[in-house]
Parts: sequence; C-alpha cells; structure tokens
Amino acid sequence: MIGPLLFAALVWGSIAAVLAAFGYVVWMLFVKSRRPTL
Amino acid sequence: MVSTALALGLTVATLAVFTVAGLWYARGRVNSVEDLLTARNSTGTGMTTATLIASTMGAWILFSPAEAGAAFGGLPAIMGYAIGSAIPLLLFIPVGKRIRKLMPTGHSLTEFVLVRFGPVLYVFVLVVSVFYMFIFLAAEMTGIAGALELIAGVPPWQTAAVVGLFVLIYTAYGGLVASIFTDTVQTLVILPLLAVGFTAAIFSLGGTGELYSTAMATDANLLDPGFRPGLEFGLYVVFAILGANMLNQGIWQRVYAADGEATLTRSFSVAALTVVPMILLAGLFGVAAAGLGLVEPGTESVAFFLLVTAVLPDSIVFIVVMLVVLLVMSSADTMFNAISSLITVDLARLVDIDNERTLKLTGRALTVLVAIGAVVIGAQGYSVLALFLTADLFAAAIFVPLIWGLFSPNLTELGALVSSLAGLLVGVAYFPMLRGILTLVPGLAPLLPEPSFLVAFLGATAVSAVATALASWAGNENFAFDSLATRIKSFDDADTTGVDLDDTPGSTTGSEVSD
Repeated sequence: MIGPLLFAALVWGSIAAVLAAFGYVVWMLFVKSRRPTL
Repeated sequence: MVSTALALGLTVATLAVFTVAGLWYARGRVNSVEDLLTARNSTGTGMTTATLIASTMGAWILFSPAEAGAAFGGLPAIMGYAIGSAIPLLLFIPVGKRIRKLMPTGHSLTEFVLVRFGPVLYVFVLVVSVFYMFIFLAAEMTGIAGALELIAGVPPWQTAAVVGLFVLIYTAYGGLVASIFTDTVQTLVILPLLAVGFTAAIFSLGGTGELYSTAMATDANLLDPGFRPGLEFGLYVVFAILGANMLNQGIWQRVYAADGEATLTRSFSVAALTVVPMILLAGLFGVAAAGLGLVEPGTESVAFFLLVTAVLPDSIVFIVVMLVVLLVMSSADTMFNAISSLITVDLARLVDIDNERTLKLTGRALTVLVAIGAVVIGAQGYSVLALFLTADLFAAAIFVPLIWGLFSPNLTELGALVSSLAGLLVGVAYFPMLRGILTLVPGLAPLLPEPSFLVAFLGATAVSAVATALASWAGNENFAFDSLATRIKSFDDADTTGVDLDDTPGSTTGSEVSD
C-alpha cells in the first residue's frame, strides 16, 4: 500500500510534470526556435 | 447537469476557433500532395513534441485510464497504462531514425513492408493499420458524444456531427500542415488546462489526504502497487498499446515531419515523459470515483465523468468540456489525415494516379469519407472496447517481424507472415473477446485454453518474436536495404507515384511507375 505522502507526491508530481512539459514546449517554440517551422 | 445549450455552444466555439486557425495557417502552405500528407522535414522540436502529445493523447485518456483505475486494478493498472503509452514513443526513436535513413523520401510503414517483404504481408498490415486507426477514430467520436450526453444531455448525433464537420473542414483543406499546427496550439491549451482543472478538482474533493482516506476506506487494493489483477492489466496493456502504436500512421507521419534526427530524439523523448503524468492523473480520477462509491457495474468506462458531474462545480465542468473537445479534435484530425494519407499513397500505387492534382483531390475526398464514417459510428454509442482490443491483438502479433525486418536482411516475407500468424493463433486462442465466435466452430470449444487477456497479448507478441528470430536465423534472403531509397520516392519527384513496384518481392505484374 502506498502511504498518503507518496500518494500526494504522485498527484502533485504529475501536475508539476505536466506544467514542466508545457514550459518545455513554450521554450522550444518561442525562445529556442531560430527559424520558422512548418 | 450543466445546460445543454451552454455545453454545445462552448463546444462549437472551441471547434470554430481551431478550425479558423487551421485554415488560416494552411493557406498558401499546401502546394503539393506531399504538403498535404507528409510535411517532410518541416517541424522543429517544439512543434514535433506538441503534435505528438496532442495526437496520441485523445479523449480516451479521460475514459480508459480512469476505467482501469476504477475497475481493472487501481494504481498498478494505471501505472501500466501510463508506462505502456510511453514505451512506443521511445521505441520510435531508433526505429524512426532507421526508417528515415533507409527511405528518406518515404511516407509510411506500409510502403516499407511492400518493398521489403511483398504484397501479401503488405495487404495484411494495411488492413490491420486502417482498421486500428478507424477504431481509434470511432472510439474518440463515441467518447465525446457519450461524455457530452452525460455532462449536459447533448444528443450524441449532434456532438458527433459538429465535431466531425469542423475537424473535417480544416483537415481536408490543410492536411498534415493544418493538423500539426492546430495540435501545437491545442497542446499549449490542453497542458495548462489539465493542470489547472486537476488542481481545482483535487481541492474541490478536499485535497489529496481526503482522496487517499476515501479510497483506502472503500477498497485498499485501489492504492496497492502490488495488487495482482492491476499488475496483470498493466502488463498486457503495455503490449496492446505497443503493437497498435507501431501501426499508427499518424506517428509515422510525424517521424517524417521532424526536421532531423536530433529533433526526432528530443521530441519523442519529451512526449514519452509527458504522457506518463497525463495518464496517471486521469487514471487517479477513476480511483477517486471508485473510492467515493460513484462507479457501478457497467459505468466504469465513464468513471471520470461520473466524478466530474457528481462532485465538481460547473466552472470545472466547463473546463472538462473544453478539454475533452480539444483532446478529440487533436487526435481526430491526426486520424483523418493518417487514414487518408495511407490510402492515398497506396491508391496512387495501385491505380497508377500520377497526376498531382488528382492525387490531392483524392486525398481530400478520402478525408471526407473517413470523417462521415467516423461520425455515423460515433453517434451510435456502440461499445468499441471489444473492437479496440481486437485491433490491438492483431497489431501485437504483427509488429515484431516488421520492426525486425528494418534491421535484419535475412527475414523473408514467408517468415514474417508465418511469425505473425503464429503469434495471432496463440493470441486468438486465449483472447476472451473472440471466445464467442470461436466456440461456434464445431469441435473447437473443448480444445480452447482458459481465456486470459494477459496470455493473449503476451503470447501473441512473444510467440511472434521467437518465430521471427527463428525465421530470420533460417532465412535465406539477403535484402539490399540500399534499394529502399531508390524505389520509394517522394510525390514531388516528377513522374513517380510513390513506389517502384517492378522489383517488389513477390510481385509479378509490376506497374508503370519508373525512376
């Protein structure tokens, strides 16, 4: 059985990971991109 | 229940905004059939990552992982689903690089199968691919139609019709270019919406501590990582998803759309890392719904939406409606274009259409046909799970020889075919959902083993893999991989229709196409 702390870490960690992925896509699209794509 | 008019209005508004965006972006950018179907070497890391996330994460993430969490074994089932969804994306990195190197002007896996193996295996793979993708599409339509009916009482045919129509408009016009662009914008909306929606929902449910206590009080197995039924589900779903994704033309299109190997590696890696928490979050809502006692037998597949409508305020329900519309749009446009791309490429080869304009028109007409079929089936509210799993089983049995054939020159078409059929035989024998049909065959019922999803999927893949290894070891073919690059051509090359069939293994007729 996982404990309440691990459960919370799983939930909040997942939300943080989704936001991190959003940040990565934004960074790659608008900051790192040196040439127009598509 | 929220107002029907409001939910339908929000759906139409969301669809309209993305349709206009797709049309605007595609204007002047779709000049050839290659632009419509391939968009070769055109997307950077940001766009490729975004389109992979959007196109693989359909509305199914709000149904299946929650159902797995609520009914198939809690946390380990969800973990299996999440990891199973990430593995194919990681496998596409070496496989995608290899296919780009071998056939730099190719379009699909089926093209490779035709030239590398021959027409019999090619037809087999083509049928399973199109069947799987169409079921995926129909499941998405059925899903959103069912969700909006549950949340706001919207008649299923209205939902399926408006979603199908709007997505069709920009996909038929802008093809892959429009699909990738709208996917990118949709990902930029979906990811924060998912994070905000789930955060708000968790607070509305009393926080993670409250969710944990409720789930534990109802059924401690829901949060037991060692719960055996959950582990079994988690294991077989990995093989089901892996095989199906390897035959997903939408992903192969994006392998070619990436502007280089580095982009392909980064994008597929980040997309794989992103789908894990997305599925985990959606699945945990199924656990929460089961914990709160909202799930009854027969309603497991809508566990997520039962929780949303029963517990959450209207403001969060609207976020969910928008989320489900975006998730459906992003995967439906991918499937519309992927199916039409696969058929167009093959039609060009079979009917010998060498006129660029005719080919482009054919691609668009096929997109319309696929959309109409998906809308009609989506509006019926069928249970598509059985079809989905059947398509997954076929894919699980045939993907290993195809991938093997990318690296080994010894594997023959007969060897690949026999390996696939051997895997399929074992899979079908154990597959619970085909048991009814099999028992109709006189004398077969007593010979059949105890049905099991785990043995069916694991057996199909393992037997196919072992048979492939043996066939490759015994195979006498020495396929010249270099020939792929010269025989598979871009539609932009003058006087070509994709593949030079003259030297295709097993082909006796050939075609008019030439270098």
